[in-house]
Amino acid sequence: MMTLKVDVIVQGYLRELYPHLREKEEVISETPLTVRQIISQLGIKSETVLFVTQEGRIIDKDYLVESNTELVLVSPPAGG
Amino acid sequence: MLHGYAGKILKINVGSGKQVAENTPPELAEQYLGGRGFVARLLYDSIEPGTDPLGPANLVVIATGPLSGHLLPGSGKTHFGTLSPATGGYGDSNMGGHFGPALKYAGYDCLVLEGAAEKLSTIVIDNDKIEIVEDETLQGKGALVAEKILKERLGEDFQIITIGPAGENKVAFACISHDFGRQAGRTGVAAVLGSKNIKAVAVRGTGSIPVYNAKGAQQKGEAMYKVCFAKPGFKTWTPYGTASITSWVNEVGAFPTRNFQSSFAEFHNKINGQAVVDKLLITDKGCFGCPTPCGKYGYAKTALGNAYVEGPEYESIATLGGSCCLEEIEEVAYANYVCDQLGLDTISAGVVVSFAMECFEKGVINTAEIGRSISFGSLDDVVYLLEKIAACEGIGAVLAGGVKPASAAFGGGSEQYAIHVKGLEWSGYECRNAPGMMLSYMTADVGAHHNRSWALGYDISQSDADVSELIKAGAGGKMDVSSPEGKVDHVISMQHSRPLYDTLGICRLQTMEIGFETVHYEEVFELITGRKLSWAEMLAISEKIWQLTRLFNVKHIDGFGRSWDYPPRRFMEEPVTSGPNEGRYIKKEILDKMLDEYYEKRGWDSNGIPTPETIKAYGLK
Ligand code: SF4
Repeated sequence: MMTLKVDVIVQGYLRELYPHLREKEEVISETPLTVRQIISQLGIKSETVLFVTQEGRIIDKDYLVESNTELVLVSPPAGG
Repeated sequence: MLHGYAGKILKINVGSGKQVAENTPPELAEQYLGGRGFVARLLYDSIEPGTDPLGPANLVVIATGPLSGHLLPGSGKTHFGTLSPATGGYGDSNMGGHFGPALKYAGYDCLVLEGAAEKLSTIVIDNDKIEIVEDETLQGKGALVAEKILKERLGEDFQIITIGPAGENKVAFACISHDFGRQAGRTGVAAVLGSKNIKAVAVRGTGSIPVYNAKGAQQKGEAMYKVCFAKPGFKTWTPYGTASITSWVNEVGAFPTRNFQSSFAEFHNKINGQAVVDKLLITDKGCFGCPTPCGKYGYAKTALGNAYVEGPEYESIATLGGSCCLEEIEEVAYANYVCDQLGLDTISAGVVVSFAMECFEKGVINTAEIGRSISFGSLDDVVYLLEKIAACEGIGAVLAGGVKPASAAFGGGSEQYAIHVKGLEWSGYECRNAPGMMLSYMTADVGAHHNRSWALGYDISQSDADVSELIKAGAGGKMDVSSPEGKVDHVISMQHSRPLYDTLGICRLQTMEIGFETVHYEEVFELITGRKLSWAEMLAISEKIWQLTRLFNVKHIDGFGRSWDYPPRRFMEEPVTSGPNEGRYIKKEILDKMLDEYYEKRGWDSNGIPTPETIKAYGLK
């Protein structure tokens, strides 16, 4: 079975909400995961994420993620 | 010499024409930093109790921060403050653009206006040459039109703030306009300018600001831009700006709809960030020194007319789109444009118009009083009411004071759904299921404004439910985030961190959005000012300013205290009518519990008044 390895960038207000997370986190899994599941594995409630991008494009949270990619979690403009 | 500051505070009595440029007191800079801190301290010290907000003794303070105008990300912010005609208490509003840097280059950290001119006038500050120019030809001109006329007359290198007809007519939620689409919208500062007969202030500054370590600051500034550009979110957040949040707010059941009867709009996809990009956008537009331009300049075509407009940004979408139920982004943008020309704050204007619509729906006001029938979702009716308000004509004269006095005038139980705190209309987050956000609105010094503390994300992060799953599951699913535990500390912490950016004169979005680290501000602050302050020490100053603005309200509002910190009864008694939070409201007992804890942690008595010990502990008098 192929191991899934995904880098996740956590930034902005999300780091305030989840101070235990670093700016770049790595998620490794033996089973396929959707974006939502990856977010959840990091202990983040998916509703606190405004949207997720991969290579600059917004992707659905139910998208099945390929290995060796980088996801960017964008936070809501928190009171801008 | 004060490094980082321009070094002077310019005081102008616009009635007598007297001008004084005083040295910026070093102790003021040391204790209050700048921006919001200068505004709060100068207003507190200079305005006597009993002052009429629209009388000549009121002041308008326009302040820059120690980081304003320096070459670093987001340094174009300017802070405006006054005794608010909307609340009768502390009022301020923050604006991006280029005005603050120009004021500093002209030699001034701060501009303080008092008195009242006899005729409509423009203040022209050309470095150290200052003129008050009577010009009644600008009377009644739209705020954007007036700026264009003045740019053509004075030159492109002048940075200009203007007011529209609403400001001239002293509408309590009139806004200041700048750079054809940036506003200092909240708390009615433009009405106070209007009461002083000041249509515009134009500034040209060609000087420089003393910097403690110029080479180091320049290198650090350049490095800060590189850090911003390298942030992974840089490319993804900027294209949508604040409108990107629209569908998210709707999904979590916090999007104000039908005058906050509901918190969910079926039509959100037609007025969200994608709709702005698809249907309006011509180009991005940013403030001075901004690496992440969130302004979206576009063109809107509607049956009522077409317009070039900056925006709409999220708050305008929420109040004009959600609360007034304008279901097409072009219509929201056009209403936004009308507000901009008339010089009306889109947040308050949207809430006031939707309030009038609900009053009409419920039979509290009638066709004869309004001059026609009105309904949610009609752009024509929205524009009709906006124009009546700006002109203070007919029903507009009553609505021009805001929803609080209008509900008192209309009666019929309408105060239940007059959506405000302290007299300032609620901005774009419905929070009957978000107690932290509710507390943020309740305790904000200026009234119901989101930018002091934005705890909605925290409320959601604390919930057990998965909203997306609930929405997919259809009716019956309810998100539950109503537990108030732990919210107070978060709100207090945000009430220090968010306003700190307004104190330093910088934009917070680089930090909030793309994760730009605050340590960079500590470093560049030291290089610019020569003063070493940690972020925590700056937050302590922000905390002191929070206490001072509370004291300002105590000083100026008769009977000020706990009763001023509650939301409208709708939020405590009426269930949300649709969406993921259908059926929810927050009982007063829960709010009281949070307020008790909040007051205790602030060092205020049970009526919300800072105790003598607290005042002493913060070194305030
Ligand atoms: S992010 Fe927006 S508000 Fe902030 S400086 Fe840039 S353009 Fe101005």
